[in-house]
Amino acid sequence: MHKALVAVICLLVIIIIWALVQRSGPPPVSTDLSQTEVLIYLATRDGTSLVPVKRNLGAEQVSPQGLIEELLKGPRPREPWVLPLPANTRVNSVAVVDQVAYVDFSEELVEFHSGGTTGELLTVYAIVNTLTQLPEVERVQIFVGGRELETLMGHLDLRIPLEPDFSLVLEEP
Amino acid sequence: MTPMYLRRKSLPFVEKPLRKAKGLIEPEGWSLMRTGRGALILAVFVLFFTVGASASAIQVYFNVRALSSDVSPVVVDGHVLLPVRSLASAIGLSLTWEASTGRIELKTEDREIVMHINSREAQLNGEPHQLRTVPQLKDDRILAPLTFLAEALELTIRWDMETASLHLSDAAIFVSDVTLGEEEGRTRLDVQTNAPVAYDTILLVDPHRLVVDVHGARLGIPPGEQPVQVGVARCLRVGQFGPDVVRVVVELNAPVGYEAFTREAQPGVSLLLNHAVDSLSWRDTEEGGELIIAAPSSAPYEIWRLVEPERVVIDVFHASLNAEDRIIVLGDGLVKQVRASQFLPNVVRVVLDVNGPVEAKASRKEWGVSVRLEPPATGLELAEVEPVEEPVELLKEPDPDFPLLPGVKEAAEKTGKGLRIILDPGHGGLDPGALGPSGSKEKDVVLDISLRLRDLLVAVGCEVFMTRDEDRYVEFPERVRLAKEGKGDVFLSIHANAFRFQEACGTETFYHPDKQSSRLLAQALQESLMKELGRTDRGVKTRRDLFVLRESSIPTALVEVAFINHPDEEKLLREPEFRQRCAQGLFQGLSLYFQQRAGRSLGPVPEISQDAGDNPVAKASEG
Repeated sequence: MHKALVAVICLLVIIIIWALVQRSGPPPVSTDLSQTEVLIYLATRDGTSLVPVKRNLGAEQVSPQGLIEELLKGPRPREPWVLPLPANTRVNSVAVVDQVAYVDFSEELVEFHSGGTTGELLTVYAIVNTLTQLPEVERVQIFVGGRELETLMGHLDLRIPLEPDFSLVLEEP
Repeated sequence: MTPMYLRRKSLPFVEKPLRKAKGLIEPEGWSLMRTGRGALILAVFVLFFTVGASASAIQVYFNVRALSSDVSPVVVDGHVLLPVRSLASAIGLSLTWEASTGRIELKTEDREIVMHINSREAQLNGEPHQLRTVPQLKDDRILAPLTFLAEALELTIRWDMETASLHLSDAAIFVSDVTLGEEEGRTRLDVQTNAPVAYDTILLVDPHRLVVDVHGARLGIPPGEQPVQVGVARCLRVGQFGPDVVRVVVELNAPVGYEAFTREAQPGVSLLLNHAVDSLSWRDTEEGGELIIAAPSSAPYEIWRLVEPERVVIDVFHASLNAEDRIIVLGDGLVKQVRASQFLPNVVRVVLDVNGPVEAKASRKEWGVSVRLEPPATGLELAEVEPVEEPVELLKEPDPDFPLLPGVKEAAEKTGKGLRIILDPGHGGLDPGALGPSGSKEKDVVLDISLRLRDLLVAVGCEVFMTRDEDRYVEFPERVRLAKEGKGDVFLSIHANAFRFQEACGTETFYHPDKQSSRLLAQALQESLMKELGRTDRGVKTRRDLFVLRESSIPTALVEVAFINHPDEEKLLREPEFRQRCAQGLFQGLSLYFQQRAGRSLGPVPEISQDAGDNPVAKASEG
């Protein structure tokens, strides 16, 4: 009787250990290995700051275009941040020449923009800061509908490529 | 390289209620999207989410605001149910739940909804209702049928398949359809709403676009973009601009004027766009010559004569002049020259200066209007015609110099004597700046504040220059010309702020970090504005990239007095008293600056009787 119980317990222990080993064994070739952590710059709801927000992108998405597309997806549910660009904006193209990213957006970037110095600054530097994290991009110039802009909403001079601005960024989100 | 999305180029438009609705032809052809989304879409949606993504939450929006994922709908036995508790707290309903009886009570200010778990009996304000699906209790959550909740709370429901989201709205007014069609050859835009609405229209250039903002409304159709080929329109975009503004954008092939009108039968706003007169050309013929006016074949026209000197005139109606060459000089032949101009907002006038009597005959062609000129066969009898005024040139160049304002000499003994201040009201003309939820425009508000500030400054003896003192567009180089040349003691740019979300509010001031005196100026202005207005202090900030700050070579600051898209601050900005306080705050800021910098203040804020007649905000909001 005792022997039977001990045998059963032993068997159970073996099964449990086996199961644990199975679980904690070397992980399968994870897609996580090919994921790269990047930052997109969203804004606080009151428009006081930009906030760097982490995203994991597949290797093929870690490109100027991929980053902008990720930015345009905006915050995930439950994230307290907001997208400081009109929600219906699309990116037409991004080209990088001599460390300058020329990024062309759809007309909505202007047409559905709130205006205001604050609104304009957060829009522009969300784009510039997001793109310049790539080693190949140092400065960014924004186009709309294939056209060079003098300004987006009447405050910022956009005729020359812009460098990132971290004075707008919240230090500890 | 096209320099800018806005250029100083005024375009004609007429905006007036047109009550004599012309039979109101239902526009044919292209329609963006119809609102009739039937049960089929819902069924597909439900199927999609039950089968495909039952685990992932469907994002629910209430009035464009995303609700927490607790409010995600649940599909139970093929019925769409909403978690009542989360919904109630998210959209502000009071919920009473009696676990013992299964009674659910939802209350708002004006209605009371009662339901019971597992019962089809429900009540709305005491009236019995039969439910198609019963409310249920599942995993400790109270679930109630979406359709009944929406009906009882008068919410509109929209499923967005693309983003897998559910949009609820309690908007009293929503845009139910946007269509483009043609009426008598003219392009016609109809924005349909369920109730009469307030709207604004803006014409933008580069590319040419017509923007219609419907205020106090939400989008009842999916937002989107659609290329079109209807008359002068080539693309139509619709979207929610702010929480309470629906924006419709029509991209145009040519900059044309338009008439906007409302109809009694169908609420909303309609726009009839002008025909575009694209070009003028002249060719010699055996008999004489032919003037070719390229325009849509349906454009109505009239030909007539003017004498002393002799001229032939062709008026094209409901038309906007888009031709690049507006004068054709021909010389000694039959016709001396051809001139075209926008005579009235909706009339293009072409004048032929002739060298002697001619016979002119106009005819309609596929490509527009042909005017053939021949020497008169016999002695020509010219009808006596009343001479009319010469056509008005449409494009008016702004004054090359800023207006210097009066009042300097009289105030010789005052404290501001000898100080030259440049005031720069932001935006203007075609560029409205930021917009408030009820339609206030930044350009009007800041012009009014600037004019009030000007009066205060002039009263204490300052010399005041204004980059604009009326509603017109001023290009960057013109704005900063004086400041760049160092002509002035202070350059003050006055703006109203905005951000996509209405949580943003308060006052802030920007200056260029390389200029010490600008920092002093910005701090003095911000400090005084905080004292006078008492709004949220967003602080003094340095910027190198703001155009006016960078270009100016005198002490310069850009103030954002308040957020025009914040509902409370817009209300304040609409009040003349608040704008006067803005002006006083700025006055005190300048005074503080001069005191710190040069040991002389401007003294107390002078008492000035306020004349409301010269008030651009009042004028704009009355209009």
